[in-house]
Amino acid sequence: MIDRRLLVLSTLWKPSALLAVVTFPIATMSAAAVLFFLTISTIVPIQGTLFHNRASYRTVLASDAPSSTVAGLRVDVVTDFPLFRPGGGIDPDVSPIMVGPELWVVADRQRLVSDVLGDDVIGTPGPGVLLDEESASLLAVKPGDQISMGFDLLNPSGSPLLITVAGLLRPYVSLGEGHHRGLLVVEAGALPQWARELVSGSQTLTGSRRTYLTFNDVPSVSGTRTREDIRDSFFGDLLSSGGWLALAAVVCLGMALWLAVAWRSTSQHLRRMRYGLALLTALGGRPSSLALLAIAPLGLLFAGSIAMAFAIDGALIFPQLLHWVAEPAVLLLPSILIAAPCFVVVAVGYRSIRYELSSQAIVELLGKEDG
Amino acid sequence: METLIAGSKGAHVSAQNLQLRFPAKRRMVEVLRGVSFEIAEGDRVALSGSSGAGKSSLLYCIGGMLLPSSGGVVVDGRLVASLDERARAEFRLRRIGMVFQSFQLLPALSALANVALPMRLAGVSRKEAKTRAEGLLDAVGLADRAQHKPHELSGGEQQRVAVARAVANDPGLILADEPTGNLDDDSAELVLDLLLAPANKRTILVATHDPRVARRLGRVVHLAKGRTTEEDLAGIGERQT
Repeated sequence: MIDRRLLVLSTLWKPSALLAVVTFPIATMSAAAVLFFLTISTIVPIQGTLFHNRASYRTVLASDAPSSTVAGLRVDVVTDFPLFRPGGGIDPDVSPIMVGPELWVVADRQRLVSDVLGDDVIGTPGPGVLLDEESASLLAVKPGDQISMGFDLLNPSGSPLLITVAGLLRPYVSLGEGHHRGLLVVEAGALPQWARELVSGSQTLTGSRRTYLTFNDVPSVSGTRTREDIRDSFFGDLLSSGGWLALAAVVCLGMALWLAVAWRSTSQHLRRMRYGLALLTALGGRPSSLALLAIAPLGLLFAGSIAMAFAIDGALIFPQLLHWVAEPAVLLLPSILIAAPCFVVVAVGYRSIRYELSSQAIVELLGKEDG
Repeated sequence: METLIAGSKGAHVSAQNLQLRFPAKRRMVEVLRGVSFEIAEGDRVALSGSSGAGKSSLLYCIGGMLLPSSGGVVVDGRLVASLDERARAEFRLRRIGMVFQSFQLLPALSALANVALPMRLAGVSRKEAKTRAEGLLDAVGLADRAQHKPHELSGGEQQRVAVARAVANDPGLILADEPTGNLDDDSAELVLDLLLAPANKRTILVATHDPRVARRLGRVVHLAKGRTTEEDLAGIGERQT
């Protein structure tokens, strides 16, 4: 019965009107999305390209794997920890950097690979070694694994040592506190006590805390910034500079514009359908079904717009969405912001046409037609 | 083909102390003030009265589109006002055929689709509805205009399409609101011939202020100041003249 009524109703739509109703919200939605992105792209000083370095992003996620979710990832923050680079350390010819007696930070992973594989290691191997994430990835080791260290300078004739990978490191720059540069110890295994003593603070990352993290200016990890970095630094800058007010204004303006167009389309659609629906009701159509069917195309249309907004958010603004990490409320927020007025428009539209199909209104409409 | 227009059984209609009031500009307008009448199965009744007397409102009350303020209409033993919205819609769909003064055809649909519309609403298959609609259009002499849109038809032709649509679901009661009001004399005669064909056994209630139309119906109920009085045909003719 319903599908037949839908067929009947569909014949009431003029193709041009249908096209207008369909394209209006979608076009407006797309324009709002593009505007939003242009704004971001203009404001944010992006190094590299926006869509670059997806592999790097995935690597980060892989290192997050032990905790399975980003929000649940435990990270120990090592502040004021010097980061040495090749050439800036003890011996310019030596790539592996020794910091302290037993902590190994490797910035030149290619050298590390050759050093380890070639049994050419400088320093004093301790009970554990910390590797930066990409080095660990290149060596295909994870915390708890053992790597073979050929010998140390103090004991050149000694046999190779097996050293346990105690943890993974992630260089970071803190935007919020004077651009400190240091190391994040991503706890993926049991840190030895000596490493824990170097840790000055500990926190569990949340969505908001992540906004202060970036790989910026750390060539050992990546020469370009990931989309996450862009998002993080963008929102970090916005939050610290108050620029979020401008962004909020743009978003609100776009939403208001879209809402106005959506409501106008709905009103036009309902006005166009009014007479036909009233007549169908007079002939025996059920008002509630007819009202529902009249509003259904708009509901589907808005659902499409919401889905599109969701996809845009997911693909461009929140790349984590692709991996469905545990921040659904935050990630869904833009879609919810769009869905809410859509729901209001559809609900008000339904109420409106339901009123139009009430007894008195039908009689007035048909009576008016009858002169 | 006339059998398509003809109905096998008419409805019995009874109005009991029907009252209808509308709120308008801070006051209540009393449209119907205790209307009572009875129409037997297959009767043909003219509902006369001047413009604004409440003829259309009475028709809409009988058809279940307007709910009376008090009193009620009983059609085939069912009190229309007691039906819920869904049942009233079903009642209109199956038991009532409406003919309007301005034809009220959907402009986007062809004559054929307009006639098929009530059948489609009733769940009749597209094919069956089309076949039956073609038969009905043939019965009203418009077989060759089936694919024409309403604006491509004359007023008389449009009203004949409307008549065909009104009987599409084989209702027991035809409610016609000034069906000839917008037609010339010849077209009006043609439409009345269709509605009042001897083979048509349906109950027919025609709201009209045209004495010529009233004369063609067997009985006249006059509506004035919200109340009805039975009148003979001669009386109607005299008042109109």
